[in-house]
Amino acid sequence: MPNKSVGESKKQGALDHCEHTGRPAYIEVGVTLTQMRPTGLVNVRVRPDNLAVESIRNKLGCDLPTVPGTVESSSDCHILWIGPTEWLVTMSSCEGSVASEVLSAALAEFHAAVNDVSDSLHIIRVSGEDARLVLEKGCSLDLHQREFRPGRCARSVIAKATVLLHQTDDAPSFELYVDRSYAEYLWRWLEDAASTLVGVKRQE
Amino acid sequence: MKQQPYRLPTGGRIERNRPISFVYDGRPYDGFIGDTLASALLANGVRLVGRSFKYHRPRGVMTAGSNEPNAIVQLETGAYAEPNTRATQVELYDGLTAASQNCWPSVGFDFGAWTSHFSDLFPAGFYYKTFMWPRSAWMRYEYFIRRMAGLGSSPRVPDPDRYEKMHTHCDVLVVGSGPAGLSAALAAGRAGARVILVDEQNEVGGSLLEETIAIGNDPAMSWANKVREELIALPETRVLLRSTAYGYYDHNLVMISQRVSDHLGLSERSTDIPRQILWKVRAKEVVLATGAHERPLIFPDNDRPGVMLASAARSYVNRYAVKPGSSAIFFTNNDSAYKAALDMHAAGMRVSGIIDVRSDISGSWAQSVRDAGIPIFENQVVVATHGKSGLKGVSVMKLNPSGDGVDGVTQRVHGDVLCMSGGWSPVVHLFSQSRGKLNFDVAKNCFVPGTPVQASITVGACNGSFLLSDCLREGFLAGTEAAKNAGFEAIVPDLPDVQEPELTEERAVWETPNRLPSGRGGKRFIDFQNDVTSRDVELAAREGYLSVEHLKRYTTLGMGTDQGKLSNVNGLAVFSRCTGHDIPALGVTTFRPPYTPVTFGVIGGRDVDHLFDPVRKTPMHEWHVSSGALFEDVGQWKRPHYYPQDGEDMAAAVKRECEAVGSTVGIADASTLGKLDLRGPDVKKLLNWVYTNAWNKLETDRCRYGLMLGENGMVFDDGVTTKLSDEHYLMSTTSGGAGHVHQWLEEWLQCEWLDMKVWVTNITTQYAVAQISGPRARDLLAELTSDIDVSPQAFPFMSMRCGTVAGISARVFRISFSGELSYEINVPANKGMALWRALMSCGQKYNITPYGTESMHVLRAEKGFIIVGEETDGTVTPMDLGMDWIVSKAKKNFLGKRSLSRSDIIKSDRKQLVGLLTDNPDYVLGVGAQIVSQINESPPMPMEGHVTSSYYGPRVGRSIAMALLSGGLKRQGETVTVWDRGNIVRAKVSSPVFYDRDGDRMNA
Amino acid sequence: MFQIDCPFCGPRWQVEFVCGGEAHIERPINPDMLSDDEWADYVFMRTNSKGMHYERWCHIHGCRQWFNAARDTVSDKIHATYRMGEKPPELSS
Repeated sequence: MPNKSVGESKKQGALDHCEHTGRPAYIEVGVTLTQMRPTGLVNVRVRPDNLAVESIRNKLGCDLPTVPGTVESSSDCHILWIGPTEWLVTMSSCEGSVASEVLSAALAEFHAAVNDVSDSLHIIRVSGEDARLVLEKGCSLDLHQREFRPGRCARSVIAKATVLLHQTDDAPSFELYVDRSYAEYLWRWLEDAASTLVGVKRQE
Repeated sequence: MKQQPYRLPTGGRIERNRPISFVYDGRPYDGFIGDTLASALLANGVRLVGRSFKYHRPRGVMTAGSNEPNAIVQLETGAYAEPNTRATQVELYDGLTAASQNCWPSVGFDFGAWTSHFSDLFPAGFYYKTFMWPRSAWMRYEYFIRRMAGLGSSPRVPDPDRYEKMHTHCDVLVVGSGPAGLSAALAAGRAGARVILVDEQNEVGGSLLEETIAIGNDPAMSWANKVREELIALPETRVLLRSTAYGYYDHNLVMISQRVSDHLGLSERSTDIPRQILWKVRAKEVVLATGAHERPLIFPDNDRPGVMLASAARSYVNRYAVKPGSSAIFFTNNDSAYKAALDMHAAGMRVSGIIDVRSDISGSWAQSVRDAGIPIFENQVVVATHGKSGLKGVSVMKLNPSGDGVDGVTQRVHGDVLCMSGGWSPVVHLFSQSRGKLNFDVAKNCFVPGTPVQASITVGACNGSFLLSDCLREGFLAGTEAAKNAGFEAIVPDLPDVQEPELTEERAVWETPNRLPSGRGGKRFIDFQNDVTSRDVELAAREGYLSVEHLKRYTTLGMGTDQGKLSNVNGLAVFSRCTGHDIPALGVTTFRPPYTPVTFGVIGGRDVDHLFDPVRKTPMHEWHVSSGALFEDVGQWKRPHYYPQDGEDMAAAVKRECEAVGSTVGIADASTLGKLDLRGPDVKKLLNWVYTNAWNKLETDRCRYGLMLGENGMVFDDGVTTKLSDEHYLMSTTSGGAGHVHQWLEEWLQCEWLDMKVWVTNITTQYAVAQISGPRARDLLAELTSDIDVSPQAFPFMSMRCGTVAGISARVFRISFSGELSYEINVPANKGMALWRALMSCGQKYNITPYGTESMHVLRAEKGFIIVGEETDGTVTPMDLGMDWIVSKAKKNFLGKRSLSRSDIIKSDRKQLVGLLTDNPDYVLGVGAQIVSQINESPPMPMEGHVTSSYYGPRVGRSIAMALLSGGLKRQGETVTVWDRGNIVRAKVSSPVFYDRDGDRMNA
Repeated sequence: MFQIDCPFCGPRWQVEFVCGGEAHIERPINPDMLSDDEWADYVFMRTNSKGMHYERWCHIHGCRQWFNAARDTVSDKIHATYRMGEKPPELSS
């Protein structure tokens, strides 16, 4: 997944100044919060008819998921379902401007909208055996393993921020895509939520 | 270790090897882990625990649980202070400090008790009748009434504790861990369902905690703990103790307040552990096993300390090993007092007798009581209680043959505890909150749940099933059924064997017959916490109240912190007698959450301090901070308000910033403006629909300003839209308007114009925007770009160019909100800071000056540009703003068009936008100041309009204001009078454009 | 707080949605032909049913799709949700 070190020093993300503010408690209780550097993130709007799906498959080697709340992945990219005509495409091998050119080319013949959103989204990874507990403090999705699995995604609300949540593995790990202007709030919220985990676990 | 005179030498569930000490009303006492504050006080012989709310009568502990009306205490002091806690639910910890409430100077000698001598003056509705006249005096009365009637006092310092919230889903939520709840949870848990079992107490068991009957071969609590262990071992089952399910909301959402560390001493609590957790549980199925509350009986002076519920007395003896007194009297209409009497007898207490309103009492309970040598006073009632601040005895009389009065002589029975039982009321609060209707069960004299409205099942005593074996059976069946409903295969567990005596029929009695009418011979309390007597209910009925909801509000029956747990049904029964309507016809008042009070702390959770609300920052935020900017909240955004230098105040800073924009160049962060990407063959059509002006002739790379109306014709957003190509436009909205406008467009596209081919994408935060403005803006831009021809001919006003600025790929819009030559440079957000620094460094030679939102507003006001939300408030049309020019006459249809010709919209006296120039050019009017047509001594005065924006305008060198004035468009040149915070100011009506009317500067 | 069955995403909590009021109110094709009263009826007047109510919701924090719901205003039970353009189901409260 997109996790590239900062290429150009000129670039500045919304979380650059809050790297080391976490209380240490959260490490002991089995959850790790990581800020990830997005590379190519593209928002795509199109009607998913066969030709459009095929055109994207040919260009990216990855299917456009049409089942709500699912993710299709290839070696280089994930395509996350947002809505029946909306997807987030993540490409780890290229910048957003390049990625959006690739997709624009793939969809040139269709009524489509392709927008580079690499600068407007931040990704926070919440991983570890207690990741669900931390998320459940602010999120009303049912993340129980019977209901939510790797390869699933959902747009929802955590605390007071809208996020696109993608479960990537059984650790479990969740990648939260959040608007850059809410990223600092969400990061601080997650840090605080992780720091009282002990109490929530002890009562069980 | 001091002696606890009323502690039994053996028994109970207290931990005798863990003695602890606590302080109550300033005095030290001892108790044990496992005690509640109430049980420890009783063990120490403290019987007087509070004063009543209205009459300040002495009161003692009446219950052993959440239904306690009297023992309401203040816990701890300082930051940890918590008022209005129930001593019957406060778990004792070492060092606990508590104090009685509602008494001054002390609980023993209470100054307010004089009110009870004048109680004839305080009938139901007293406050409504007395203090509402004269109206103006209420404020003065209120001060004294609040002092007299106040409950506890709230802390004055911030709460040091942390609180948590959890959102949880489950298949089966079981509320209550008594025999029925445990059985239900076990049946559902064994099926593999995700089960949550919740109980307000510190242990599972519910009624089993004081039960003496065996389940199978085990004592009741051994069975309960075995079930608990099995549940905890199941991977998908969670047992939440010290947790009150306080609200049952829509679609099976149950709110639970868990007290995680309230039972720990203050020094044992840690900030890593939340004090309380709010669980929001969404359950597929809910099993309500909430039990039942015993009812008091209504008789004279039934509130004397020492009078308590029979079940409470039993609980103190069996569970806490505390004698609630030395000798006990019972007063009952059913069998449950017999159980209690036998247990107290077995514990070595003297039992003076059982006064039972029933006659010919038979059955095995009565037999056991007689075998124990306890006298039964059949067909008799208590007519008076004796003792001053504590019970010493009662007077009893025989019922007359018809049972509605008393006969013969009074007989005195001695004892210091009177244990009463008027039957049982199922705890139907949660069921009722779930919108289930209640039915009155005539045989059991109580309301029981009717047909559920949500996916829930009621079991056990909550269902009116008072036998232990019935509770277990119903629980197993309900747990199985709930698991099946949630999609699991489940089998009903085998029912353990329970040997228990049959119950004999209870006799419906509420207010017991007496020699005297209810107004005389001692108050007969129905609601102990709010001091409502049967006489108050009678008065309400006499005064014509017929609805129970009105009765409740008029008498305050059931409106205390106990929510009438003891008083609801009794109040209804008395009301029924007075009105002649039977109880089912009267119905019950609505039960509302919370079941017991919930702390504000846990409701707030972590949404406090810096996490109270998201703070949105632009990519250049850190620069503004380090440059000393002061910030303004615009929605959730932090925007630089102004940049004071060398101790400048706002006026000085703004004047300097505005003058820089007017003379050289200023720079502002405009990243927060909304940006919507519009694509598709029908974008032009969409723009023609949502804006008032025409979009057909806009050329590529050109910009146009538009006003958006609601269907009611009122302005709701404005902004500039740019054509990037035939099928690609970029719409800008107000800061914080992007979300609303996006939603507005999507609603029309998805709901009304399904075949219109347009995609809308909100790309607001993808771009950082630096706005450079002033006569030198072009020179500055020219220095930083090599691929954009910035000459006025090549890059005219209201157009857009793509290229690189400071080496960064950018879209540059030549638009102006300041009235000066101005450019908005859009770059990818992560490069916003780099752009800003480049502009600042290159702009140094022009004395580039950062300016904030205040200067932005001043500059635009000088130009007469409106701000949606300042000049408009949802009642303003484009015509009202004098902006007819932007409303297309040629377009046949656009949103809101038809409303613009409605009779009210075309009235000539509507409030219309004007400029105001005060006679004194240095006087700046207040925003919101009223334009009046006549000056009176004091308001009201006839109002003609109000000031919407007002500033000192540095570029025009005087004060300026915009206002909405009745018929204003035709009143230019008139002088009006403005009432401004007490000042009377004269101002001339002018055009709202004060600066560069021909626009030469921004077109330069 | 309701739990609403988004026709695309399935059951989600109400925090993710906004309510758009009464459903199935079509915009008049030719507003100029309407009297003030008729236009006001379209803009301002809404039914206030006791019982089944058809209303518009948007899964704003989810898939961003507008859809319709049939909700009993007495029990707040949502009997059906269906996509835009689909016919409302026949229901009685």
